[in-house]
Amino acid sequence: MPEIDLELCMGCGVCEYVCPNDVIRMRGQKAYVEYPEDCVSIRNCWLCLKACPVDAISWKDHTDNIRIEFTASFAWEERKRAWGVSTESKSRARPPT
Amino acid sequence: MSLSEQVVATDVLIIGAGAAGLFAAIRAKEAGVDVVVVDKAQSGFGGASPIGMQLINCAFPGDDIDHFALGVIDYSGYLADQDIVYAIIGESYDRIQDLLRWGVEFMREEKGGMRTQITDQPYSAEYKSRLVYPAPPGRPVHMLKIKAAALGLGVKFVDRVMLTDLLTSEGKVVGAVGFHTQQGGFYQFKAKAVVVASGTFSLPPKTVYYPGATGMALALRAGAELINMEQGKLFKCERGHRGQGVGGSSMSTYFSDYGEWWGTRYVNAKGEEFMEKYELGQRLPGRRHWGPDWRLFIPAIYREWKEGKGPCYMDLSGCANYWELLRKLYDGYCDDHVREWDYLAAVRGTLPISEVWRVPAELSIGTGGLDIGGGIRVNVDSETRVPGLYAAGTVTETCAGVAYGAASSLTACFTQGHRAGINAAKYAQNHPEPVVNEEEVKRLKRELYAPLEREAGITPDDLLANVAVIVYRSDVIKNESRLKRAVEGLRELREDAANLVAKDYHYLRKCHRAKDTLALYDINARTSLIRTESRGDHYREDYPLMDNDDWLKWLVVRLIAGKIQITAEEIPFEGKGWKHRPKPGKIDIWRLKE
Repeated sequence: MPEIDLELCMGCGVCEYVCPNDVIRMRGQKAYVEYPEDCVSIRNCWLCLKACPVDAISWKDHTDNIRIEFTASFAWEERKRAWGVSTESKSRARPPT
Repeated sequence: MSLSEQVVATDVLIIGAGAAGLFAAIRAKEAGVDVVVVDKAQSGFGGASPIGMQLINCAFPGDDIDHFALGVIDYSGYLADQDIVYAIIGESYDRIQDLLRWGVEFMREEKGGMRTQITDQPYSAEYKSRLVYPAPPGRPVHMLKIKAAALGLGVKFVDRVMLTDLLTSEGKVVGAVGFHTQQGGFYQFKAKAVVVASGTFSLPPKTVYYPGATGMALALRAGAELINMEQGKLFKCERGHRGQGVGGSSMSTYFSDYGEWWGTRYVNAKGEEFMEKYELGQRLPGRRHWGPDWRLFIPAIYREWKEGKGPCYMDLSGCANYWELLRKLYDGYCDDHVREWDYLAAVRGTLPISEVWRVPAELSIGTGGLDIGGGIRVNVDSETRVPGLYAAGTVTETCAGVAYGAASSLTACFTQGHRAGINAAKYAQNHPEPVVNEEEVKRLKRELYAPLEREAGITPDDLLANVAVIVYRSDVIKNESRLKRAVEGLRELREDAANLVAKDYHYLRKCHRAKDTLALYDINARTSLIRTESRGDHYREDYPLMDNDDWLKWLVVRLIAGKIQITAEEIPFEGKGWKHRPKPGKIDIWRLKE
């Protein structure tokens, strides 16, 4: 998951432009990681990090974001917990704002 | 809520700006019609194509096309439409020439010729294929060059817009509706012909690719057929073990693609090489290339687990010179990926790649998402059964042998996109301005924004995670009781899906993706239940034999009056005069070695 140094960020918006999953958004003159849960952070993405002209973006590790081991594929209950899936299928969401 | 509304009229509308979509756009524009390309990311950066641009299958003049085609068809369990396979392989060289014309660079030999390699197909050493390598590998720069060629011709791009439904009139496709995923504005496209090139889809945990299920689902809703939906591919991923590896770096692609050629072994928890037990293991004398082909692995790994010998690992100790071999293969091109690996390793406190290969290392194997192999049914001209609707690339029935991984799926995208573009332009030139039913637009608009209006319900993340739990439980090793449970579970989730909530437009995009993903995995489970044999990427624990007597059939899915209808259709080997036919009888793919 990208981490943005707001001191360095000059607000050019190129990270927002390249992100395929719409994770980064500009707020005023600074970029923010608005939807960290949607960052795929795997294989050769890292487009924001490479695109930033002032190296304001660095990487923060986020192991949940990578993958579940095959060991877990047959351990369903553990897997559910690992993903934070509620065992009840109907969960409450925040109302739209 | 007052939102901006845009109405865009064009001749050909293309959904998705990946390899297939851009090829279609360029060909249609060259034919002299107006073309608009819509992508829900920034076109050129989204989709699977930028990542896939590492290896491309290509038959050079003089290559044995029959042999290449047979390899692909055999791999598909003879489900492939052989006309399409021949078209893709036969035209692949011309498409590479197109790429060269647009400025895409390839690795070259010292004398300047394109670097190519004839390799074994992953399934069997009996069949070969030829690869060419874009340079640098796996970077968006290639897609941007193709996009630049399209822009130069005057193709228009609309970015960050997600299309959720097609507009139809008198059985013909006349456009599409969608919304801006950041500002939320409503978009209505009027088009004489539509090309769906929006890619295939996958499940959490975090999938490699960005495409979603919506392209396939909207074509189904508009009357197109889906085919081979029981085929599912579980991709593997190496995961760091004992601190050496870095799961998720782009370098791990190279482990799986090349490591096995160079001596990586797959072992169970006791250190035994489990693939050796099978006769299949003998089909690749002298090498152990099981890489991209999870379907060969999954039942084997499953058996190891059942016998209490899990988990299973990749043992890297056998290829200590891997590092030098990779350098030799990729010259300077892998340095970029190496920098990535080392950076991520530093973040995680694990070893840099140059050290990984010096220690006896093991990487455990992780799941990398479950892709559906089937898709929209098209003919060799990329037409669906709905007039005005075309489809190209992995959104079509990619499992049908035309794709077993990044390499040949790109080849398929090029040719299918090329043909879809030409034919859609021809169709648009011969048809009048589309008439759009305004009532239908209003209804679709209401449905589109509905998740924003709801006060409470299920979030798209929760829904997808629940789908994933059900699907992984039933779909990796399939049997009747698991599949029945899955169908039941997914039915319950469909009720939840009617109550999806979105807090903003970003989440609205995820709502549509989640809803359509659920619908397609539901089809996947139902078709899997019907196919009582194992074939291609479909493995049934209770029917492990490939049944060439009773099951040389396609399962075709239609949506009729809101209900899914699945029919089995004989594969027309005779009718179409196809060259390659399977051996009759029941074949046990999983024979043990004598």
